[in-house]
Amino acid sequence: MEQKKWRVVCYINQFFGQIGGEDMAHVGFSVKEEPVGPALLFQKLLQDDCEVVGTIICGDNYFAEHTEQATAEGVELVRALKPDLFIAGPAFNAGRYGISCGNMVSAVGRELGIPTVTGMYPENPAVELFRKDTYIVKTAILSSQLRKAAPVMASIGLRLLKGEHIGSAASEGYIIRDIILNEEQPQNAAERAIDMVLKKIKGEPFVSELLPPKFDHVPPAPPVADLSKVKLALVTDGGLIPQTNPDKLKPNGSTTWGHYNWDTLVAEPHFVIHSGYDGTWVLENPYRLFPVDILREEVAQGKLGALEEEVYVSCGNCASVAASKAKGQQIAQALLDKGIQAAILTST
Amino acid sequence: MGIPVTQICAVVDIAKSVGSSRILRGFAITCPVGNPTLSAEDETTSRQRYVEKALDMLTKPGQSGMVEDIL
Repeated sequence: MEQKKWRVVCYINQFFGQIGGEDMAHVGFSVKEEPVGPALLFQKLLQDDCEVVGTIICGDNYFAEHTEQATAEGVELVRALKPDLFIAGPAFNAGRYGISCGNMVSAVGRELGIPTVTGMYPENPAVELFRKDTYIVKTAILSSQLRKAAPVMASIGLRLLKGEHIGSAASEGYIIRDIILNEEQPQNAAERAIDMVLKKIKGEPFVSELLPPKFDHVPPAPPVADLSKVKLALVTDGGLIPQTNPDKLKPNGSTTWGHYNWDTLVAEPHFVIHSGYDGTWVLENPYRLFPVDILREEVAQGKLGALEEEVYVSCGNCASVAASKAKGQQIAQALLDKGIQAAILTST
Repeated sequence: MGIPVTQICAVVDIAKSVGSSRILRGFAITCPVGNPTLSAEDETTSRQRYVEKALDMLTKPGQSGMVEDIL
């Protein structure tokens, strides 16, 4: 008896859908209940276990100009075809196509709860937006390399359908998803660490098992032209807060921050919530964290325009880069809203 | 445009690694702006030097990873 085949739906743009080039980029969705373009290749690669039951085609501009609406529209078309697996692209290095493929796989995976896979050149801007949501197989820049990427995409898709193990990003050829993968290693951690340190001592190449967080490049903000005309704010990650902790900061891994009137903060009960440093010196003299005394003198002497009366407090202990970035953006926005033009940040 | 910021901290390597562009080396992790080993009056003077240096750095172009000290 022939086993029932899994249903696969593919998504492609108007170019791969053979509707047309840039002149047809405005066209909306169409559905073919058969494999078209790259979907023909996926049909061939998966023919033993799957059947491509439909190809969804959409113009690059139509999608990119109304992303939210187009995603919703596309997901409903996919849903109607009742797929078990959804494959988008590959988009190679095409910007708008990357955005549509990324949005489609992300939304289909989330709303239909089925496995998804796509393919992109690693520098496609959509990679950073969607790499955590799906398997984005690394492709070359140009679509002439479709035949190299498609088998990798098909293999991952098929194994997802079968519930089989997908190995690491490096071994499989997809873009890292920041997922911690459980894999049994032949050697335990101590043995691997010693191997690594010996290689390091010998100056031999080795591969770390931990990835350092990626930091943004931050262009320096332009300097202030005239200090006597600016309003300055004080910010810290040192965690000096009111005893009542109204903003629910945490001793470590804190994701919230607060802003407090300086005179009230020091006049009323306060403490250092940061559990990563000894707050004795700061509590003894809070000016060691927030040099309000000196800055008020600078204002009195006309050297500094004004000092914001509220201080901005976060707790930087064991903070993830992502959480810190979010807090930093929120504080920066709060400062901009108050017309602050310069800041001093003290870090413990 | 952005808001220019002088970051005062003792562990300058962290500030450098995250891309701060106006970094002033603070006195200690537990006391960025001051010096608890000094008399109250001298500590205020020391804090004034940190603050005036930090303000001065705000008026100059920043450079990613550049660290300054109070002299």
